[in-house]
Amino acid sequence: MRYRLEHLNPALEQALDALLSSTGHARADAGADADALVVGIGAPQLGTALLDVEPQAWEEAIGRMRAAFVAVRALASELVAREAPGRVVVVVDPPVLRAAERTGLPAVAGAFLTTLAQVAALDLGPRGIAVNVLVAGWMAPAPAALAQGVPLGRLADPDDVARACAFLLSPDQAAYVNGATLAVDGGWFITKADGGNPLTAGG
Amino acid sequence: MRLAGKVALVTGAARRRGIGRGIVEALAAEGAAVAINDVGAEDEAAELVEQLERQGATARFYRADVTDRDAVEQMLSAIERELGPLYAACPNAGLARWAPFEQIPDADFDAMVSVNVTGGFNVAQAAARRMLEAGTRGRIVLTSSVHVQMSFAQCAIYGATKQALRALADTLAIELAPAGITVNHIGPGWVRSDLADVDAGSDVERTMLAQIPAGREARPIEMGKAVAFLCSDDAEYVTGEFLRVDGGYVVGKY
Repeated sequence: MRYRLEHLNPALEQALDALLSSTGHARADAGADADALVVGIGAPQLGTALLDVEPQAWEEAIGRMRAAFVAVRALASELVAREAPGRVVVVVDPPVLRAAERTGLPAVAGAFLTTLAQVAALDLGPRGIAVNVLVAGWMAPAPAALAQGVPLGRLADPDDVARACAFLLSPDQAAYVNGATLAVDGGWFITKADGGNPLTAGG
Repeated sequence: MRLAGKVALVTGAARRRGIGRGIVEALAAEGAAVAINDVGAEDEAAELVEQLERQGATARFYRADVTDRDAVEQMLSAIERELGPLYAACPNAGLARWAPFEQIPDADFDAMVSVNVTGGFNVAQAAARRMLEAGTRGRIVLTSSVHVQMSFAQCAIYGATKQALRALADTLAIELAPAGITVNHIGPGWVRSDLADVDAGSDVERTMLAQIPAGREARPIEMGKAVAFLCSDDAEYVTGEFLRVDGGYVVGKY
């Protein structure tokens, strides 16, 4: 598998690159053919209520969505032209699954990409291209206090997320997984911790 | 008359056959003074204002591009000056284009994202700030779509913009609830409008109708009545909710 990693949280990119390259896969050089892509929207923009989001931060979120779309479309059009199968994983953030205060920008951008990935799965499935969504749990540099809201009691380790990515990328392991959403969030989605959301502390 | 004396803004509302017009008509029927926004279609807007005034309602047209933040602020100031403090904001302006995923043009992405998502954000945020300043326990009702629950082939960007509005509404609902401002969104089924036109008697129409359990297309006024409910005191405790008005179109399909 020749893979591209684009617009990921740097710690996740490093973990994923290490895992994939150690299991016989190769990162595609710029301009070279690839058959797999993991794409995200960078480290989440956290801590601002939507009411206080300034136009610049909003445009940055839109720009991240756009860059992720362009990356998926680029691989899709190359694969279609080569009549080759492929696999895409779109990485989004936990508030896609349930809204929370001061997480509106990653929620909006991630929700956008989730539906985009689902329709891409529908459009590209007949071509042998699978597109799935991975909800990456809260990872550093997100505030450590977010672990209060995670039933497993800790933030995600980039390796936790990388291993799930590798599963979704694998044509052997996940051959029939398409248009799915896999949450690797320690269970954040299913509960709210006592004491609420640490992002709202201090006003 | 559940909205007597209240001021409501509906964006993307001038077109004769659009959902926006249905929302305007329903809010006006409940006694609201309605600010009708659109980026164009001034003739159709003038006709709508005249129709509503003839019926004894208060209505005004405000031409503005919702993707332009300054234009949105100017419009809201004009509405406050001319009609009074804003009680309800209905970001409804939207456009739809479709293409196979790998062929989606950049221009389609930019057009849909800027109008549907940034436009919705601009109007919702600017309106919410004014409601908070005025201490108004107001209402925000966005027009999302059944695409929030179901994926439709060749509609990656359109569907994604509506899902983004869902996330926007959910987050705003939590953040604004302490101020008594509710934020909800409606999911129209198939409305025959400029956004999704189909020839009468065509195979496409037959296929569309066959998929809708209610056996017919949605009427814009039906979207409006759902919005009027969400804007009324009857829905004071409803927030962060998605109300589908689709004749069962996507039931069993998502």
